[in-house]
Amino acid sequence: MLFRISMKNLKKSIRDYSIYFFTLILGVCIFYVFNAVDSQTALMDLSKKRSDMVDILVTVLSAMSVVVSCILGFLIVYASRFLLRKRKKEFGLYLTLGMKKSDIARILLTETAVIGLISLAVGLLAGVGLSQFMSLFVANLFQADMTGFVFTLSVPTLLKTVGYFAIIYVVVIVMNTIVVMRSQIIDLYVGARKKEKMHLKNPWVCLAVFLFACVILGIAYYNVTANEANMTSEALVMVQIVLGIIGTFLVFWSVSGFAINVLKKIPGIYHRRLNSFIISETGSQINTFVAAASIICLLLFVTICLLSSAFTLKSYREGRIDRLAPIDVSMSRNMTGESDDESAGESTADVKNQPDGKTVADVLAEKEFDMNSLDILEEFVAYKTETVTNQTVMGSYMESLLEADSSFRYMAAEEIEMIRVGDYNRAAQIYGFDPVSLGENEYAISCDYPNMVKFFQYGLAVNDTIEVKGRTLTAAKDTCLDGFLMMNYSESNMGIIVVPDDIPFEENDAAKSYLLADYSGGYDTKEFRSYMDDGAFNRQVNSDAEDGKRVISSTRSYIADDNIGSSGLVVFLALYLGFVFIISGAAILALKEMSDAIDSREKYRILRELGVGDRERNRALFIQMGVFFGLPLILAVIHSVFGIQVCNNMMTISDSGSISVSLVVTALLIVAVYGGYFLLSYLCCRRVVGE
Amino acid sequence: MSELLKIEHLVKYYGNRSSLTKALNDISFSVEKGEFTAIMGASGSGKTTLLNCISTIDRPTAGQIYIDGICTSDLKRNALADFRRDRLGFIFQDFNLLDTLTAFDNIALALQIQKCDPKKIRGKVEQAADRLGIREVLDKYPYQMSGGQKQRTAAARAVITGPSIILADEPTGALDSRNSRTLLESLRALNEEEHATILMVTHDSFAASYASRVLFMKDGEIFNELRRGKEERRAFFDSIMDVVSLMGGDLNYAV
Repeated sequence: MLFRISMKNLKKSIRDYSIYFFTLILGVCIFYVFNAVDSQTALMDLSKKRSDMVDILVTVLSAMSVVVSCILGFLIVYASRFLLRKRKKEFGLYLTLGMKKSDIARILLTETAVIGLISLAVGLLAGVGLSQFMSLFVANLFQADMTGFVFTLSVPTLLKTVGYFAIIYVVVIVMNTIVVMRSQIIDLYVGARKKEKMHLKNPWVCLAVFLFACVILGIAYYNVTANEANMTSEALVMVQIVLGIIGTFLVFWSVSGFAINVLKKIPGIYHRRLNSFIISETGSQINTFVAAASIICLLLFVTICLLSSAFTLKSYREGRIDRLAPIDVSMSRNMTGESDDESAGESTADVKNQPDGKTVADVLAEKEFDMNSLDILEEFVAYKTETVTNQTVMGSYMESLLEADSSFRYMAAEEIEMIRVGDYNRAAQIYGFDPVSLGENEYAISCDYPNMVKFFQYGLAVNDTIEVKGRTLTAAKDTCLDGFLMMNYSESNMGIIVVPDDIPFEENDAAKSYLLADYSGGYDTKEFRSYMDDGAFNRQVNSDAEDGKRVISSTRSYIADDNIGSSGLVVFLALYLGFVFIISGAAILALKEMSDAIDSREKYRILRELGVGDRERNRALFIQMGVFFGLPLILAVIHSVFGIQVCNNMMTISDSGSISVSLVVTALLIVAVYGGYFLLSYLCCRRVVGE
Repeated sequence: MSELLKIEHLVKYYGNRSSLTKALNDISFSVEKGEFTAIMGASGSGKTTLLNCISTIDRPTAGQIYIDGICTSDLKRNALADFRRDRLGFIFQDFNLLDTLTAFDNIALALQIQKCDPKKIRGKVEQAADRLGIREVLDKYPYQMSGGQKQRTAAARAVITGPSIILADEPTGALDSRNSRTLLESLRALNEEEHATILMVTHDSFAASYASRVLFMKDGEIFNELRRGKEERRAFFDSIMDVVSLMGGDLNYAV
């Protein structure tokens, strides 16, 4: 008997709260689709670097899925309690008819269990189906070739999804049981009938609060953008965030109060068509909407920033591959025993070994590397002498740095590589930088690592001379040349001094050999790139090399893989979180709209009897729902105008091209998902009020 | 006087083949312009079904209803909405006011639905409110008003658009006797002074005695008809009571 009641209730609520079921199914589906990424990529032909990234992604995903399941769990618990409140009267009736509370708890348990099973089954089915398309998307994201379209099913993810959602449903059941067991008949009975009185707010108070909220938001906006330089501590940044949250809440609290009062004062608007009905309904419903609207607005805001930043990062980094890696491979080899890792710095104080005079090409030939594979563009040698260190180049600026922090002493003692201007300009031409022309006794500094660029520039301001081989050179420019000798996946040239061609370096000064090359035709294949990037080359060429005398290679394919892999990872995670955020927000909103529509059935029946046609009624419904869906979105967009600037500042990206593209993509995604929810709940509500 | 409402062989069946309920069984009658007609009957006699069919909320199984010479069963859904908007005025037992709107806005809504010029609304609403004596509650919300005030607001909303016929479904059903009397006096005044045509469904003999003509329904058919003529209301009430006891007296429980 109880089971039959449960089933009947289910049928009824499935019609009324189809949005709730849709959200459950969508939640399960998304959870599966994003977590099944390992099975989606299993069949892709990814380079080692990119599949490493996918492995990282899988690890991060499993951690993030805990967070996501918490969000979804919160959403589901919230939604089910919301539905429970709506059914108070029904339970009151059961109790007055003599049913026990435990019976009601059992009815609810059956309902939740059945809902859970159905939504899991349908969601997983949809997830497995969608996951096949997702693999196309992931392939595109990681720019992989699909080796073939094969149906994939990730059993571990399947079990994981079932496990996580089982936990969520158990929590729902426990919460429902607690609510039912603690309730009193009279509360259940009266609770449903209690009519909401109109909470009329004083329009002047509302106006004042609204202006106050605008001021708060304005301050927060100003501080995070124009005044960003003064936001030095984390506490100050947190204050801005808190201001933003309070401001958001107050805007929603106050906006209805005075907007409605203003609209009521204009008979030309208020008494036209159904406007008085629309305005009053919106006004009365908005009172129960303030907290939800604030949360939804913030979720949308975070999503917009997250998505646009991820897309900006992706297109920015991919756009930079041509600058960072213009040729197929650059190699270098320390000819002395020094550590090649310049940033480590500690070993520079070691006794300088005698250079062995072997260039990169010498070693490659010695190790029987297939020299036909390379189309050598340039070979040259960089020099070091004791008289040119960071200390001598930066002069008194370095001393002030040392005073501030003694750990700079390693950097101070480090000798800087020097390169002849002829070699530098040929390398610059190959890489596509601006060449430099030096006078007889001039030098220049090439550097693109942002912090070092700053140091050198401060240094040049106080000291513009260096001593090389008995000659005194003066700086030709007061800024650094933008460029590098070795390619890398980000700007990391820590400083190279460009000196005139006729400096009499000795053989012992030769510190590092460089070789720049393209792969010759016929060698630019996947197999050869994999040989270069995935360790085989390193093992062959450096089989018995001393530490620090290895041949270091940096290839375009490796740098591209790193860029694509890491930005693919970021985009994937941003999409996952973004989807979950928007769906959670939109679902809460849609659910509220559905229940409001069910409560207003009677009102729409009255309107129909008064002679309101379908079109006019739908217009009224559409406007009301548009306001509820639109308000949080509008405020979130305003927030985002500033939030996105902050994100771009944090990522130090100011490339307007990639930013505007990512904004368009983000907007499309938001419109598709959020707008989809809006349309869906509008259609559901229209059906409800049209009955 | 011209025939405003004409009903011919109206039939309404509910249910399926196994259990058929004949809610209206071949009913024919007509209402002249300016008449105040009451339809009386016990619960289940079909009077509310009849009103629903006339008000185009429900569709009859067979037969025709003509209002102002227009056959309502020929009208499509949206045309029906326009028809209700322009020619019918409603008063319901449970008032059917919108609780988020003030009395003024509730009355004005009927004009707004007719796309009346917003500038003319205030004057018209105040005029109607004066006629029904609810001027002082115009700025109140339904939950701040008494039942009688709510029903008179509903009546004001029904008459303000100048409908061809006012349909009232148990208008006194939720009112105490004092408020019932005030409302019925208002309806009679509307009928006598402004020649409004009113069709009222009720099971209350007292309410029916305010009408100029009473139709009695039983088991989906018209059972009897009384016209007041020159009679006093009190005497008319007695005549109605006679018919009611003749019908089996099962109407008395509500008096």
